Amino acid sequence: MGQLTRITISLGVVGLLLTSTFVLSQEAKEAVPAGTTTTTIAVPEKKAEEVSKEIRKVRVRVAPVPAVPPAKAAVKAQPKQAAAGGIQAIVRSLQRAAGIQPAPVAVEVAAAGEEGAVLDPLIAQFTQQFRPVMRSELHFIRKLCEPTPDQRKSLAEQGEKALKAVATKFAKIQHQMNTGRWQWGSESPIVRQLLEELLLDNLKATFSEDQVTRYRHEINERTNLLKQVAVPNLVATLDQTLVLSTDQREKISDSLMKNWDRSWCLSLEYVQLFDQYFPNIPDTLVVPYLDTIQKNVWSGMQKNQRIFLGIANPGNIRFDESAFQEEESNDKTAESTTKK
Amino acid sequence: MIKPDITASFVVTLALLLGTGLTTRAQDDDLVDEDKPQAENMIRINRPLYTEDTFNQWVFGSSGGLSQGRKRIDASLNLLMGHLDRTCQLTTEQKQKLRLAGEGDLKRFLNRYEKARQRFQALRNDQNKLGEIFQEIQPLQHEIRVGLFGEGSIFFKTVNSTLDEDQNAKFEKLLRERRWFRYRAKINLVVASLDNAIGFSAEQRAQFVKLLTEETEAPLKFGQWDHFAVLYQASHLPEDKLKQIFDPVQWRVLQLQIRQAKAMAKLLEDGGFVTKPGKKNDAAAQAKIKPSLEATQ
Repeated sequence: MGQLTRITISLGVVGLLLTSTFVLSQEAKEAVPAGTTTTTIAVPEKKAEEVSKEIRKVRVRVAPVPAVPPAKAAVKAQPKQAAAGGIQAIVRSLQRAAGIQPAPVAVEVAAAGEEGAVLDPLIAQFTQQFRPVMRSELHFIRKLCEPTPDQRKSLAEQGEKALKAVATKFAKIQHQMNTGRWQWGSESPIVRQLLEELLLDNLKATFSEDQVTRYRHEINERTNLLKQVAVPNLVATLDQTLVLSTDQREKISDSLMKNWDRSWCLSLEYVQLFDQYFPNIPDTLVVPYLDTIQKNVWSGMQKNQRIFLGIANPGNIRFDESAFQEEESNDKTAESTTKK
Repeated sequence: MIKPDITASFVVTLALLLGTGLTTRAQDDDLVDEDKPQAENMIRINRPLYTEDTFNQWVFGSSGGLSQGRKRIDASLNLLMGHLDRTCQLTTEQKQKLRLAGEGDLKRFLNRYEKARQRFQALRNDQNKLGEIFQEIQPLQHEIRVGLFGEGSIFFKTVNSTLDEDQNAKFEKLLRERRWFRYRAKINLVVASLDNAIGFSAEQRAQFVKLLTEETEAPLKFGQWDHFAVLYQASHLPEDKLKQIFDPVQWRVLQLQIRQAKAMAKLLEDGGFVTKPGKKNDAAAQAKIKPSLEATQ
């Protein structure tokens, strides 16, 4: 082989080695999220003999446990953990396949704290937002059931517990919505309704049967209220478009009442927007009562399904917490007087 | 020997090609085509931001374009004509007059529509002019929502002048029934909304609804201020009648809502949603309300 040929071959091999190194270093950089640290997960020695040498010690990139307050840590840790989670999952599955119990990983502990850190501010926000409704409900129960001083104390305690439970429920739903996990058809609770259910359940232990019956009666009356309010408003909205006769309004109202579907209207806030978002009411409930021209207009009307306005809308109502504070402080005064 | 030389050359060539190719791929992300952004910009300018379909959807609030929008307006006129005919037994001449009047309103609307559409065509490629486009569209949207044949329309004026006294009285009666049906629905909605916040018993709700129904008047117009229009009316009721329904704590919270509605008095009165205090709600005033054939906003 000539000298020139030898030199060419040597240059080619060197060039190949250099470029390969460069390419591999590029890929290695992309695999490692910036700002992470390296942690070695050790495999218990007694089982190491059963494990191939390749998985005895594995270097993985694990996001550090955040050193900042929990709420901030939850936000900061998320993107890093998302990158490191996949590698960790592979390691842990290899370990399990080898019959090795994976060691608890710091990131898992952080995950549990992270959800709490995300939910806590939401719970605090909803607690503050719903407190006036809880106070008005307690006031209502006090007037309706005329509780004894001991019962009033228990009522106040149950009110706080119910408020916390309702706020937590809303916080979880809000978190689902924020992370894209909420779907149409999922729960869309009403604050007062939830409070009623919780209070009714908890007061059975301390209130008399008569008191509970009075409260239950009022709750039942309220349960039908949404339908009773929504149907006339639906028909009034229809009337603006279809120009209904008196007889038609009565018949369509009756039809909608008998075949009420809650998906048409999840809460009172939806009633206020019927002019803009008319729900998708089945033809069978309306068309039989229309004339030919009205039927044509009905078929061309825009009807909406899966309308969702969000949760915990305050609507047009303003709250006056001071109105209830006076009553509650009177309760406290009476309680301390009784103790003396 | 020849064979080793050829093999060596092949290996070298392959190594060089592979190295070049890998290097190129590794650095591919670093390559910047300086001409590409400009080309993309050129494409962006030539492709309109919004189409005519979008414009029609904005105006008419649904898909189907101008033809569907016209059909809906025609149907609305037919409905009104049918309603008038059933109620008042219109003569052929009256029907013709009213039909012509309605078509006049449609023509006026279409002229405004065309003007807005041309403005849209001129501005639609400029994202910064979106506000101007909507300023052109909003009056059209409002007309579609409230209807073309209400107060101020040629149709409305023609109804007044075309119907005789007996026909007018019948039609007025039906309009009042429609308006009151809607107002009662709004009263129930307002009371239920207040109940959510204040906590009424079933009996309190019934008493409050009864008082508002019997002692307040249906608004002149309905729309986004209905809640406040009802509470505004409540603010003019004798306080003792209202107060006796509620306990002191409930009354205090309710007063906050009523004060809020009173603060909107000018908006509600000037907008024609409520009658100004002191104005009697007599037959003459009711007659004035009658022509609001589609009194919404």
